[in-house]
Amino acid sequence: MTASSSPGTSALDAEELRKEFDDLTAVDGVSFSIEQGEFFTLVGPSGCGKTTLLRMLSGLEEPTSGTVRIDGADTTRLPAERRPTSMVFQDLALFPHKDVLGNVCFGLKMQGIARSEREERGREMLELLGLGGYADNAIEELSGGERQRVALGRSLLTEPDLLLLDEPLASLDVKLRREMQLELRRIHDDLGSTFLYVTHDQQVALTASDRIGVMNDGNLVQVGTPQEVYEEPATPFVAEFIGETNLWAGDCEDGVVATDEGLEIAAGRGDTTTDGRVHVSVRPERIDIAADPVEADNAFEGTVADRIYEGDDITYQVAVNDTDLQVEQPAKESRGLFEPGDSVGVGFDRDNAYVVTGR
Amino acid sequence: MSTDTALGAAYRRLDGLSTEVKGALVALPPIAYLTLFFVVPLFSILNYSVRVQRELQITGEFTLAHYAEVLTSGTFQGALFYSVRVALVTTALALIVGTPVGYYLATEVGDRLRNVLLFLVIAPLWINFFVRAYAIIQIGGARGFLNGTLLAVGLVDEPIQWFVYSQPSVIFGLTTLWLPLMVLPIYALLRQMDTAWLEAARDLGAGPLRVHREVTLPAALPGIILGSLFVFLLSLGNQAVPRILGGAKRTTYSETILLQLESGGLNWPVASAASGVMMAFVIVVLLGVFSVFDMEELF
Repeated sequence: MTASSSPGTSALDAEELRKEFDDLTAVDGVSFSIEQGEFFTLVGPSGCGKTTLLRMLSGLEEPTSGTVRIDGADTTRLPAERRPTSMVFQDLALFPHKDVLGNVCFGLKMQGIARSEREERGREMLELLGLGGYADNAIEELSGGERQRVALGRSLLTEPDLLLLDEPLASLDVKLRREMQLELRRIHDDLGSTFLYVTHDQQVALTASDRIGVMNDGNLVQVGTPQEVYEEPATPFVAEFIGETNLWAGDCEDGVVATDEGLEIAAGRGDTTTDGRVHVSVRPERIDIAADPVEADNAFEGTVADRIYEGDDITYQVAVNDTDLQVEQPAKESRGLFEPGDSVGVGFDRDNAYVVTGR
Repeated sequence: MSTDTALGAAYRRLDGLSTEVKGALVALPPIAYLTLFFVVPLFSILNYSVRVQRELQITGEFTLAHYAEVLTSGTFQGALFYSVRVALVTTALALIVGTPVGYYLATEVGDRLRNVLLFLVIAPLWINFFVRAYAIIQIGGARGFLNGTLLAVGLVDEPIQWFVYSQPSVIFGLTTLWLPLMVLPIYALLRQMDTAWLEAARDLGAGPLRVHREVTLPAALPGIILGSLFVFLLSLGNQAVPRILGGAKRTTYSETILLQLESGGLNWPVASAASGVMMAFVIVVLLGVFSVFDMEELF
């Protein structure tokens, strides 16, 4: 896995990768690096170019321009079968004509490893994935989660320097997806291999990754740890795509943003020294709500416009001046609920308001 | 009583019947049809094949002499060998030509072009074979286009005779005749193949040829078997093509059977026994194929 790679080199270096289809630019000059043993997630809405980017890294798509380096070696023009990467496909692409063991051992068979050895290693992999008893089963006899693991095992058994995962959990139901996501992380940590995971599900990105790259419209907008990306969004798009947020455009002067809707928000984070057009982002869970006016750097009075009960949390839409504030509160019995129409006070300290200077 | 209530009463009576009885009622017409026009003639042929014939009359006497005659006759052996060889070569040719066509249609072309090409594959089935056979003769004959070109270019000094009225021209005719039956099942199977399987195989280290061996071939195999069965069996029994394109010699097995009835002999028992031998041969081929491949996977 990572044993063959020299220390100090990145597992992956992408430089100015571009892909144009006819009159569409799918990937518009993307550069980033992944460290050895990292769990890196590319996240973005569908159509943002993340799958095309992944396919260029795997060799299934040839870049229009740019360079791909894996463990320091230029692989830009290397065909897929000769790259030290392996891909877990979105719809898994398991071979229906082969049984579970035949699928898992396929890569080793292509490497010319003798049947007895590859089957032994295949069985070990199935054991590791909790599929010990399924070696001789047909693929169609497996459940969605089990197929998922077969696809993962098939790729992992080739010991790729870089494992590429193209939204392989998308077809699973929410509960199973959460489980598999933790399991992916466990397998990653056990094997110490490098994972590049692509998803449109920002929740997966936040919980499983060491670092996240946020893509939009063919561009890599921001790269950082989940916390960095959540707390310090580089652009309005990132602020809105990663998690929920209240985002206002406005003019910033002396650390106070006068929003276009007429709110004055004292902001304590981000580039508060900027003067001029900015956005300000306040996460719903950082805003307090009470029957009486709230004591905070930014305090407003408003009316509950709507209430969304989510079990663990309650989200209020509070109308203040010409805008709505989204306020999220943990649901506690003692706290009581506000009804639509109630007059409430809302507020948050300046450190919860982040100035987004990017466009 | 009006017709309406009579009909209603009939429906009500039908409704009261059990599913089995209803099923039997539906199955009855085709069963009757097959019995009358297939099973009865089949058994009468098999019956003829073991009866002694005297003065053009089939008697009740039992004999296996006709089978012995067919099996030991050099003429029949040679004809069977000829027919099987022609059918085998035709099948092989149809496979070589048809598999890439099926693959191409299923995976490489866009939807619009695919419809056009599929139409072109199927269209020959609508054109009477005699028309096509005479076209082949026109093209391949001594004064035909092919020989004309070869002569004009100077590649040959005199027309090549074996382009028509020969074993190669029979094989060529049979191949063009049955090619759609090879292409279509292969196409249908490969249509269901997910191209992501090919990408996954490449990603896991399979080169271009290996991908086809590991993924395309297994995916197409039922279609290949089915298509080969169609082409082989239909070529084996085909009579029109050898008759038009095979020249004056009547060398196929079915022609040899016909000769038993034509050359003044009206030898029904021997013709029937020869038919029985062919039937047994076909059944053995089918059993052989189905013992290796799962029937359910084929259909």
